[in-house]
Amino acid sequence: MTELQCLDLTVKITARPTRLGDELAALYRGCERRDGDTPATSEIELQVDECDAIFSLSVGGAACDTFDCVRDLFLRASLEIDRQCVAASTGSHLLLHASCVARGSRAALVVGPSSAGKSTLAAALTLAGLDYVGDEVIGLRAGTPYAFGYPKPFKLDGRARHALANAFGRADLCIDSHDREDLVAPGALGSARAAGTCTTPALVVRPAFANGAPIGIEKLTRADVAESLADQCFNFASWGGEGLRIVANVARRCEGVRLRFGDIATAVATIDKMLS
Amino acid sequence: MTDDTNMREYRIARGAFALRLDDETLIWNPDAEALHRLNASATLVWEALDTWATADAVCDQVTRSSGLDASDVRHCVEELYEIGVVERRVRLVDHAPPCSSASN
Repeated sequence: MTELQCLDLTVKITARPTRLGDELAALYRGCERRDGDTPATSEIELQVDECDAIFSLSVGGAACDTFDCVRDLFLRASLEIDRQCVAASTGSHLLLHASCVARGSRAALVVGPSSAGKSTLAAALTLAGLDYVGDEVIGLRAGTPYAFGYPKPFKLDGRARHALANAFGRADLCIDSHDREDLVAPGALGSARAAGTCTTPALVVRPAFANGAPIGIEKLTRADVAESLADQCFNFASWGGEGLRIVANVARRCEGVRLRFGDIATAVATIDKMLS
Repeated sequence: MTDDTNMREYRIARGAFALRLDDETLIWNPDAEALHRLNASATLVWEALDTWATADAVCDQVTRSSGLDASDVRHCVEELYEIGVVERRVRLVDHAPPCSSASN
């Protein structure tokens, strides 16, 4: 049995056989719950029928879905954890659809719509030696300059893994299919900050990958930055004016850039330089 | 039918939440659950609407201080009204009662 802390979500993972839970826990190392005094707010159960090789997922005691491979089971469990994290944390955090990495006391928020390359860029920055803070769901809180994440596994497709393998000489990251998505433990790429660690954003990056394009950096105005953050919030409407105040405070403290890139290693070097 | 255009007054709508960032402004309209962004010129118009004012008065104020074109200012006021972050009323004009000369 493993308990994870993802912003305000505390989730208990149970698995039969236990090795399934151990495998998922290995992917979520860094998200382990430290304060186990109170009962978890949610429960996810993983199960495999060894005879038929059917993997099943239950959430809160209710059967949710079945899969024919463990990879799909974990992908779905990861999605469910994010979904529940958003539901559990929406009242306490303004929740960004973003990635976050840090170098020392300065963090970079990578924001953009789905498929903009946020996860790939965050994975690449982790491979380059920055600390991974979180992906998909990053929380901001009123009255603090901090961003909060949890180092969930990276969800990367074969194409992203191939690009990372080429850029960082990590042939072990390659998989045979370009379209297949898989979870990658942050620890396999570099270091990660424990869930709940306070991190101060100093840079907001809007990535735009264009195959073969030279690096292009366009400075964003503070209004650009605030608007980008608001656009990529899961719960901006429920925070309204207070949400605007929170993103404006981040925008006032951060530099913002739109980064067009065709080569991931150059993009990483550029971001790292801006953070240093 | 009378044209009340010159009697219309505008003001920032109650509930609209605005934050200025450098020379631009972001506005949250809670009724429409929409975020709007004003460029530097529109920000000047917005700031001239903090109390009830006719479009003419806003034009005077903004064109005098910025050199913006009056028709652009007027258009901006209408656009802000259209998106719901500015409210409008028709000014009530007190007409003096017609002089009644007692001719008894």
